[in-house]
Amino acid sequence: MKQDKPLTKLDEIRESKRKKRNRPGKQVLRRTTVLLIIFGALFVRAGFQLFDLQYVRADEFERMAINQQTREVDIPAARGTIYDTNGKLLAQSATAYTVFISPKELITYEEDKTFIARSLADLWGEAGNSYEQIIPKWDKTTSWYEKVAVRLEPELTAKVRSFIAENKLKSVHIAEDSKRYYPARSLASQLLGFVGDENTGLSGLEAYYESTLRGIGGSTVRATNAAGTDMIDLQYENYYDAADGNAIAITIDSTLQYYLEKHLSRAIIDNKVKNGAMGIMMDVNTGAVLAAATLPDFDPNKFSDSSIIPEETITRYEGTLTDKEREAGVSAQTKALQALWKSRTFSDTYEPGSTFKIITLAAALDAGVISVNDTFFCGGSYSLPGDPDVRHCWKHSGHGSQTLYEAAQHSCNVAFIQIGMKLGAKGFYDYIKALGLQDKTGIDFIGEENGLWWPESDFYASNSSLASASFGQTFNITPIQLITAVSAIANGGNLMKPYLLKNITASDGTILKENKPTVVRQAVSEEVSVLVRDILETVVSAPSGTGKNARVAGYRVAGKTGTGEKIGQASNEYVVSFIGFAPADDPKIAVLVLLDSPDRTAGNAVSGGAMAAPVVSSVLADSLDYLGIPPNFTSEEISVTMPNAKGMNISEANAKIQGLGITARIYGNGSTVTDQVPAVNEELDPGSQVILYTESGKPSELVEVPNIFGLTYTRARGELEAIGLFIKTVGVNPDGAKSTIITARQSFDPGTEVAYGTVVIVTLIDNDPNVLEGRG
Amino acid sequence: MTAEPNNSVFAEDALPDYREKAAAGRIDFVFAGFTLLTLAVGLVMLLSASYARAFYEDNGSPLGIFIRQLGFSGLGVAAMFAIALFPKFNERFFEKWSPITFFASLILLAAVLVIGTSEGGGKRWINLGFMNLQPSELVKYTMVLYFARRMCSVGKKIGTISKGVAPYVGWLVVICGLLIAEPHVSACIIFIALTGCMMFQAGTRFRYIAILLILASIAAYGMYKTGFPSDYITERVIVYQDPWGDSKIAEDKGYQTRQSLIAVGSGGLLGLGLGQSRQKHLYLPEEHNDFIFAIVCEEFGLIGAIIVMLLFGILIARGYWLAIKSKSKFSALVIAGITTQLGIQVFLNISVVTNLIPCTGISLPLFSYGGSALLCQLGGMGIILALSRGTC
Repeated sequence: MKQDKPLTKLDEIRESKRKKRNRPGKQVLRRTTVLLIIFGALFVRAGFQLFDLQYVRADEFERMAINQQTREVDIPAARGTIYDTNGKLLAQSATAYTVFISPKELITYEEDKTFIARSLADLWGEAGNSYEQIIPKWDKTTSWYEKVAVRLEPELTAKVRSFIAENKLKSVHIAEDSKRYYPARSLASQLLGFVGDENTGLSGLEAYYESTLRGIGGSTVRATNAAGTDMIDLQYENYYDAADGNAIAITIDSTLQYYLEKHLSRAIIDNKVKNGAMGIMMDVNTGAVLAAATLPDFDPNKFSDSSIIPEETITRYEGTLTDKEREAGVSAQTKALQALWKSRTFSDTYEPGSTFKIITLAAALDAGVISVNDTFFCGGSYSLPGDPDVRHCWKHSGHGSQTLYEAAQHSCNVAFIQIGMKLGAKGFYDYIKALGLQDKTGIDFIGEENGLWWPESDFYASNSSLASASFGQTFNITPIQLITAVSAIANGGNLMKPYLLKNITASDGTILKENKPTVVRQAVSEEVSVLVRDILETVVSAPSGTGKNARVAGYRVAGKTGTGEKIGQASNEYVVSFIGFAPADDPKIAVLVLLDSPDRTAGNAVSGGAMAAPVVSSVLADSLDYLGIPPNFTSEEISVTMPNAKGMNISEANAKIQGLGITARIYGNGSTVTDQVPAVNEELDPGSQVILYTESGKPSELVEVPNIFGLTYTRARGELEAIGLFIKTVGVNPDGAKSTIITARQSFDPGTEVAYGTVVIVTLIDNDPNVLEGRG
Repeated sequence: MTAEPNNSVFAEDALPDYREKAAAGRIDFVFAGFTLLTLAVGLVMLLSASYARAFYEDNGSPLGIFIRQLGFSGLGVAAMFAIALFPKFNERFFEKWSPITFFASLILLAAVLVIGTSEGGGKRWINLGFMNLQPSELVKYTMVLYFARRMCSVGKKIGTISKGVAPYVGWLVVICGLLIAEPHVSACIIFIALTGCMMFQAGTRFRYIAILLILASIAAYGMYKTGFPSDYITERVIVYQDPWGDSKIAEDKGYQTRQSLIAVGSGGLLGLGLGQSRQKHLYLPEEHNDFIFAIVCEEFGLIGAIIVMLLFGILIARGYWLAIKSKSKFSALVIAGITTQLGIQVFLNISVVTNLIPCTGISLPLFSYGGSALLCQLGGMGIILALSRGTC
């Protein structure tokens, strides 16, 4: 070997000894083998651990991996539109945006949270979270997603977007969302309801048809790294399409709804109604609800805006807060708002009073216990044998001897107690049940309530409860129950299930479901229906009819007044109501109007006849005309249509005008008519005096409409004509001699500025306490 | 190298001088080959594992870590072959220099406490300008050489406490003391296990080893129960028992283990494919260091993980085989010692990654990122090759 000198003998011996000493002993070799075996065993053990994790439990870990490695971003489904019965838009969704912040990214990219919160809050004001609301959200440091503004309008979103771009922010994001618009604003607000932050219907039809309207949301699944941005190398993205919600059309007719709400809100002012008003209009033959209103109402576009609630209402709710509610953080504002959102027509119960006599009447006739030829004597009160309670008729002096027709016209309590007695408690209850008054009607609406009746055993035990029930007192029902039962009596006897849904259409327009009327049962016979219609028509048409203020010129209206006491209220408050249907011989629509707690200082008698009947009259007048049901005027109802006198010479014009039953005053010295008031085709009362101009001089300034509420016809006409306005009356006939005939409603609110010569339509009512039913 | 064919006719000298044969003999191709193969696989895995984080965090230079490791691999392989092939590096050389290198490396280990730089954990590195030297890696090898020399020199007295137990335990206390001061507790586990294995192999009486084992177990249990000297032992055991547990400790401290298990488990049988790991996208911390094996499991599944374990298994088995075949006790102890050290690290690393044992920081040889560790490992492989020259 090159590196070493050749070995000497001595070296060799030394080396050999060393070699021997250095030989690994058997023990070392054995123990090395043991180490090898130990490591072999340890590796096998580790192998089993891998087998357990990667084979036995692989699915579990794969799920965990996918869960954390992907981010799912929701794609909202477009919520279905709500149309009225004629296809008019009532609720529609449009694209809006959600702005959310990512506290985790704020930390990662070291962005300034106070600057961002302050800027965003300043930017959107009320439309998103305030500075104070945003700041605590930054503290959720593990969160990627904290909403700070929902349903933000596109314009504001554009500003947020440029704010993000300007500052190159990575912790503020925008996602698509949708916003619900209610173009008709407060119209039918409680019926439609509204949607909350998650685009979920929270109230009304939005809530009831949630699953239909909602659709199925889609999502985008993206692979992201732990910092939340896209994984490099792995462009994994998966879309799950959203299925848009279906549209619904409802039976509500916006125009009819508008008429109902308009006249109800006017009635609230005229009668100083303290607790709101309700009204329902139903298609008598199908049970379709054409309009249903609860006032006061709200704008579903800003449903949580409590500023529309009067201070005294808040104060009143403050008093009703229970300790439990206070603890739960419920405010008086919240309670007041919740009350405002409620469709009271379906979910409030009340004592119907005399409107319920329709039920008693139809039941007794159908049962055959009374006949149309029976007479009933009213001495002013009624006592049951052995019952210390004396039940008074509303007319304490009594109605004397009456035919069945007259008993109905007078709304005579004593007569109806007698009718109820003939029917008996069992018979009465059988008809109550047959007419669906002890069950919820099953209308497609959230929160329908049921009435409040005696248990059968209590009711059958004596006739005491029956006596009060016969004329509509001491029990509670909902407005929808009453109008459904009365519609059954009016339509030939078929109890219909009331409904709001007309049809469901897919987003591509195909009709998925057409809702059909449902007959629940035949509750009374056709003959009884015809007879009751006839009787109820006289309640409106007869001179002594309590419902005479519901008259509509040109139409046959049947109906019944009602004045119910508010049970449990010490303050002597009433719910006055009127239910009517028209045309009386072939009913198409029924209208029920309720005014909750009108003020007796308003001027009119606190009764359904004086306060609610004129509302029904106005609603029917507008609605029947709108529905194209032809009027049939009697000679005294015919109004005069103003002809065109312009261009005629004086004598020619005078002759034409006098031929129509009105007179003319000439202004100016010319010989040819140059102008006229009122304008051509305006309608006015017979006997009015119009003005013809032969030279210029017609005042061009506007005239302020005076308040003529509660005046007699003659005075009202005088006040209007004095300032150059004309009158056309509707309602009861303008009998100048009768001082109880007064104006109840006027087509222009007092203070409205109108053109000189405008015709003001005035509703006349008969406020005669001897005719109108009061509460004794 | 001009090895004459062996044609000696003398009976006693029928076997040529082992030094001659060693100097003349060829290196073990199997061991060298599997070392290079494992290193190559390790480099590919390091590229895959480090790519994503380097991309996200180093402003889009995804190859930085890989290139550094590649450089050290080149250096390391050169060192390995230099040690393996130069005849100068023979048994006598290692035996002669082992005390000096051991003491020198210990001084470095102590110096770290003064002049060391800290990265993440404790003060563990000495900045040499072009690289950071981790003296504890060096000590792992110098200790093996030095202990082997002492174990040979005492002959049969290895069976006594004073010659077979006390010196090693004593040195161990010194080494562990320095390591704990850094602190670098996980390295202590390797030193303790390694020393134990060497003592066992050299012939320390089994009962002493058993007593030491029991004492160590009691100490470990005591630390777990009392939380002394640090709560982190207790914490890691809690995480180990249920990484998804409801306790605050499991939630706060279990992230690493949970992410590792998700990576391993979601790899399934066949894995997601090379480069396809998702956990490396910032989910799994330490993915190119101590937890690189989790990425192996995720990308290559159970099959790939077993193959990598087999690579190490072959290296370890071959190492022990070379030890058994070696002609001297010194060589046997050194080869086996270095092999044992490899085996301990591989087993502990895989066990931590798969939560077979509580989490502790142990890197995977030839895979994990780290310059001085790789250089030392390849140098160690070179020593095995040098000492086993011509034995097969």
